[in-house]
Amino acid sequence: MSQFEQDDSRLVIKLVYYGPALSGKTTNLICLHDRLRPELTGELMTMETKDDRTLFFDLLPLGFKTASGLLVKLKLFTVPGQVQHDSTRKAVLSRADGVVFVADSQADQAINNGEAFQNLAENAARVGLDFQTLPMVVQFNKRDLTHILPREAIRSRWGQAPWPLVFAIALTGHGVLTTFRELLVQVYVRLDEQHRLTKDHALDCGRFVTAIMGDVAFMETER
Amino acid sequence: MQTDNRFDRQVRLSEVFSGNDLDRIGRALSLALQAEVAIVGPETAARPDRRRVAITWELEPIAYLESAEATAEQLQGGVTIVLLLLKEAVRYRMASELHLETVHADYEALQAKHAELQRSETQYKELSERLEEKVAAQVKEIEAAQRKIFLSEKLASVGQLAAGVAHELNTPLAYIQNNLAAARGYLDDLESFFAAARHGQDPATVRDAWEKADGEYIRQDFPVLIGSCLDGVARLSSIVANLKIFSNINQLQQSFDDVNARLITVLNLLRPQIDDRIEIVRDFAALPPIPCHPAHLGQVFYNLIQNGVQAIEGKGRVTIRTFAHNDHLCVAIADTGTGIQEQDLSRIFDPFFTTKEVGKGTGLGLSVVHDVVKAHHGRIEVRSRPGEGAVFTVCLPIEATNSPEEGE
Repeated sequence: MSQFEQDDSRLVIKLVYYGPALSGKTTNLICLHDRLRPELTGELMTMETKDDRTLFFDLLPLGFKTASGLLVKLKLFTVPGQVQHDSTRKAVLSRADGVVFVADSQADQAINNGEAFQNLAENAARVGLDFQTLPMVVQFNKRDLTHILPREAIRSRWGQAPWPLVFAIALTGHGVLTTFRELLVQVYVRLDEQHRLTKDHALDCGRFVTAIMGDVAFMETER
Repeated sequence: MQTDNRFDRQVRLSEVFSGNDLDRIGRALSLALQAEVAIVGPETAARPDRRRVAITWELEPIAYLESAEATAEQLQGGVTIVLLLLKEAVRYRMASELHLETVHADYEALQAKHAELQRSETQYKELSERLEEKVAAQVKEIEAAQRKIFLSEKLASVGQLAAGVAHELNTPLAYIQNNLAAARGYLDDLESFFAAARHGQDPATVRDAWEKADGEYIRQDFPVLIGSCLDGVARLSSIVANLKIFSNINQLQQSFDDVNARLITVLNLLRPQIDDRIEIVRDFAALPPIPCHPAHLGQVFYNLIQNGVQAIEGKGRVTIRTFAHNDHLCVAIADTGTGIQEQDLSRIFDPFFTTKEVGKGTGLGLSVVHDVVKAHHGRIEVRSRPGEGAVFTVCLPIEATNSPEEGE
């Protein structure tokens, strides 16, 4: 959960990229690291095994300071997608303020997507997150591959859900910033309720998003 | 898990590097930069005579590299080296803390599961113990109910038996009574003749009294009356004897019994219920006595023969055949009655199953037969077709296997 730490001079927000194995969570984070222009950025820490699979997590710290002197710090995590790392997934997910669910668009990955999403719902319940109100974006990645589910099929399946649906190619960056921005907007609404960002820190949603993302133009076209 | 132990908290430099390591890093940097540098904590106040550069980790300064001699570029280079060292150390530290966190969580989950398993095991244990008690109680109940059924069937057939016996006793009793009454009349009639003879009257008067009393007829009829009475008494005592044999009042224990003789006793007892339209055919083989409860066996034959008789409408025949087969002694009771419907065959030994009119049968006769035969380690078979009569065959072991279970 987001919280003011120590002397209330620092607000730490935890965002988690969740999803089945090899769906592109780390690629999302690397892309964000390369493209975002926040006021403050830290070291991107990846923990991969030699076959490029996440063992524990990846971490990208981002942030900015408000005029009022509040340090807003975002920690972006990825979880290991492989089924056997469930305990690690659960530990990383705990205290999350928002989640991006990265699904694999390939037709033969539909079952894995479903199982991973079910796993997200279960772990959210285990670590005490309210799945109904948790800010979340569903991203269907790998739109550049050939054997993928058509958009209509995905929309008919996920369109009814309350979460924004974004199509992406994380390798080229398509949809990655849109996904992140969609999440930030939702997260801001809750933060503002909890910590009175507009009132106490003159921080509205637009400023919040711009401070984190930098002056990036949203020129992305969906595919 | 306490929040200040979680893997993703803000780290302090002192958690990552020991004081000794920090000293060594500082000395190495001083040598490399050829300028005295030191790593100082984030709370250390800046000094005007020193230049310093923040070591920023996760957006916040967690220490400073400061020096009185080094240039800004030199310090920046030093900070980069410290950050690279820090990155590796923090990465290792976070991974190990996350690992610890998951191990703790897994262990707690395991312990919770273990506790739950133990709880459910205890529950099952209790349940199984109670189950045994419950089953034992139910078995007791069933046994009591069976005993009751057995007893009530026995009482029912005792009632029927009593009615039959009463009828049979009545006939000889009636004519003994009639005969005795007639005899007393004769004595009254002869009173004047006796008086004349006793008072020594003349022979003409005595003869006169004799003829008046029809003395000659009385003299001829009296022995007939007495003989008939004696016949009746003989019949009464034979009925009582049969009854005694049937019920084996003195023989509740298992004993050796002649099955053929027992069948004859049963037939005698059933005689009042068998009228002329029914022919009884006996086809007995010579058989050894077998170990049994004679009274119970008598009940089996009584029920089977009675059923056969009752199954016959109009004229018919009941054939009772005994024979030895392997180690068994068999009694086959065949009737030419109405037979048994195919769908009823599997149920005729069930308690309370009856095809007789309401009030005519208890539905217990054959179930008692079945129980008694089983108690004797024997078996009972039935063959029947509707309209073609039925054959019940009871087979009993000739040698004692185990003693028959004690019944009522």
